[in-house]
Amino acid sequence: MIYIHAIGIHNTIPDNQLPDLKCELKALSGKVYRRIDHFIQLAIIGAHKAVGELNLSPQTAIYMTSGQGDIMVFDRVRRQRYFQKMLSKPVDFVNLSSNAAGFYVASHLGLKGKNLFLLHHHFPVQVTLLAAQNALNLRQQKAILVGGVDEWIPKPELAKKLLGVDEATVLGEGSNWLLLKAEAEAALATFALEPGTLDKIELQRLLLSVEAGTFLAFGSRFPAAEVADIMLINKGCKRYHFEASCAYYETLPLYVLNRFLGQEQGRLLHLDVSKGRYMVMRVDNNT
Amino acid sequence: MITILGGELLCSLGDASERFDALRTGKPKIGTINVNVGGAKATYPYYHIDETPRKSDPSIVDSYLDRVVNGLLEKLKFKPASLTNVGVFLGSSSIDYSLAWPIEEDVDDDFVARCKRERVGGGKYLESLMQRFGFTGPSLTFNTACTSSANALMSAASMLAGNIIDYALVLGLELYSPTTLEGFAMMQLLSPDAICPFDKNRNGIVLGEAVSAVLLSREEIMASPWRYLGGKSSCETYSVTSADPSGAGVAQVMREALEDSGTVSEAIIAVKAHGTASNLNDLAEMCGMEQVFKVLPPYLSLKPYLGHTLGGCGVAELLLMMESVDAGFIPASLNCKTLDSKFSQAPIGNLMSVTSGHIMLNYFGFGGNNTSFIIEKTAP
Amino acid sequence: MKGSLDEALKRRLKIMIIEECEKEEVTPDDVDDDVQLFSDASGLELDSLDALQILMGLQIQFGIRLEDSKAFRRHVTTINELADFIQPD
Repeated sequence: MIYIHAIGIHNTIPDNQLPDLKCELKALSGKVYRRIDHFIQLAIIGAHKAVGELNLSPQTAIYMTSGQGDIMVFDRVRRQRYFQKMLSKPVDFVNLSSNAAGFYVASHLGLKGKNLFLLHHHFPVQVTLLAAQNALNLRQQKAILVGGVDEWIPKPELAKKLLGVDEATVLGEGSNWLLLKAEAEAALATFALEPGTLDKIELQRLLLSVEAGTFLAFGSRFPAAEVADIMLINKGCKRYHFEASCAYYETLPLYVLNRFLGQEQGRLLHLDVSKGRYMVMRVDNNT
Repeated sequence: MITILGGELLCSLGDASERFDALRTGKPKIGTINVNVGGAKATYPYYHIDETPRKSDPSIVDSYLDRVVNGLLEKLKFKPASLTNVGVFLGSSSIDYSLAWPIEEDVDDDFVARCKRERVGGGKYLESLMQRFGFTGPSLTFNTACTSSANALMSAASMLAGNIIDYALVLGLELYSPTTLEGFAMMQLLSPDAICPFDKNRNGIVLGEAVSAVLLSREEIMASPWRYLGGKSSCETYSVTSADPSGAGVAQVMREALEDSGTVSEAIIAVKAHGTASNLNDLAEMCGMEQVFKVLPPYLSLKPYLGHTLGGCGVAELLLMMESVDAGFIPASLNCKTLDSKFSQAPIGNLMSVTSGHIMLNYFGFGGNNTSFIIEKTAP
Repeated sequence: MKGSLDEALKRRLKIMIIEECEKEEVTPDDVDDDVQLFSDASGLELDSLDALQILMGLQIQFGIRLEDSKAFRRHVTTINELADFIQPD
């Protein structure tokens, strides 16, 4: 069993304008950083909200994930190179690798453990948590700070196409982090993830085994009809609604877990789907 | 115990017999590449896989990945369907940019209009590979700069140790990317002539391409003379572009890798250094090794053979080490004509006869990433 | 006019350096014309990445190409020297 020891939420629905995070970061951390762009600011803010006030062991690892990574610096460099035919700045080149964000989060928090930047086409949050859960279960790590970071970009029509979501989708941005440990003492909640993907029958079998009163949250790609079906069949479960408080981004599942733990008491199953395969995460803060 | 079953590699050295010849004789092939640095054209040495014209075209990437996976399965006499419960892990330093987006040279404001409504992103390459081969297990794409595929391999080994998967297919990917080449040129990290690790007059790195695949398992599922014993990955926040030249962070990760693998430093018969021939990397690495080993073991850099293949070097250089030892030797570390006077011992000067033993492999990268792991070939 | 006598040029150079290196707490008046920019005495705490950023700024804003950042750090060490280099007479 592994445990959630801290959560941090940064979740916004930008109103057609890129949020200015520089001042927010300064107000929050009291520090001014050079060479960091919006994506990195976002990463630091979320991580700081989760663990900025804690005394973390320097060996704490960082497993960071994102749907699109530092897409704004990528877009800028791409346009400079191909369109404006000019050279990009050295700082932009370094930040093109999204793992640069992990470096600045580690600097900010004084960490020197393992520092990964991970991607997955359908389930970035779930597989990153799978890697973290496994490393903790094997005692290869004592503590892992898991973060999901996605930035809003000022060209939402382009972003929507590259995300494969329809035009009506409202895009948001978020940086949501949680601190996982294998130890139970002083934990906020337990965390468990089904290690593989499930098919529909396996999912239903799993849902039949959950206790009455369990909350169910559904990933953004879940068809509404299927959500309705699942709620109809599993009458003992309660729907956990978070949808009105956020807009779409790929690492939203971390926001959902953190929001639940901050607001509710109980057990939550987070269900996500892609191409007929399901992934299920479970958090429980019943003491 | 994690076993390494075998691998397949595409790099500038050519096919298996050409690789063997180059490693044995110390004579790799080196090409050149033209780089446009802000309007000024420059030619740098470069290690190409082949002469196929390169565009940042996703289907080219797919075809190279297919070649190594098919080659590996053929070599090990596996059918994709017989690889049950396999996890797939990919490491690349450029996955975020040159590969993540279907870039074409005619990028303009109409790009948005032409662009298809289709999810792209760094996980796309692995996703489509999984579909083509019918793999259904967990998959993860890593970008931790030059340690990407080394970190992918370590996470794969963890998933095997945790019994989450029974086989792990680990891929290293680094193909021609104008963005990468221009970035390195602009940062003045490229050597204009040759890559000379640990040499007093080393003047920078030479980039190369490598696409590679290695298959891991557990002893009880499939035995192998090659084993992955353990390793460590850490992040030092000295500088986003270089390791701490004192070697402190590098030494720490090597010590922890030894500890994790249950190996004493005296048991290491050779160290595959990162050896990029950048001034600060080689300095940090040498200082680090001197702190960890009472008597420095023979060490080498493979980069004069295949170039610095960035995120791909984790798996590519592992495979070159395994191929060499399987052939009974460890190759000479090339191009160190005059040892840097700050260093106490030169890298391997002549082919070394080796058939078994513990080998340490080190990888360091942008973003402060340091990775070290230990493999063993058991004596027959 | 020799660059080191051209106060407007030197001010532009200082603003460019402050911008490229994101040294927001520094004003142009804080940068001494004769202090070595990459020394501890300058108080700017610049590193090799800053040198590359400054080279880029020189190229974009002043049309000056310098190939080698190490040579740049060795030879063009103060605002006065940099100004003279850009504008010898």
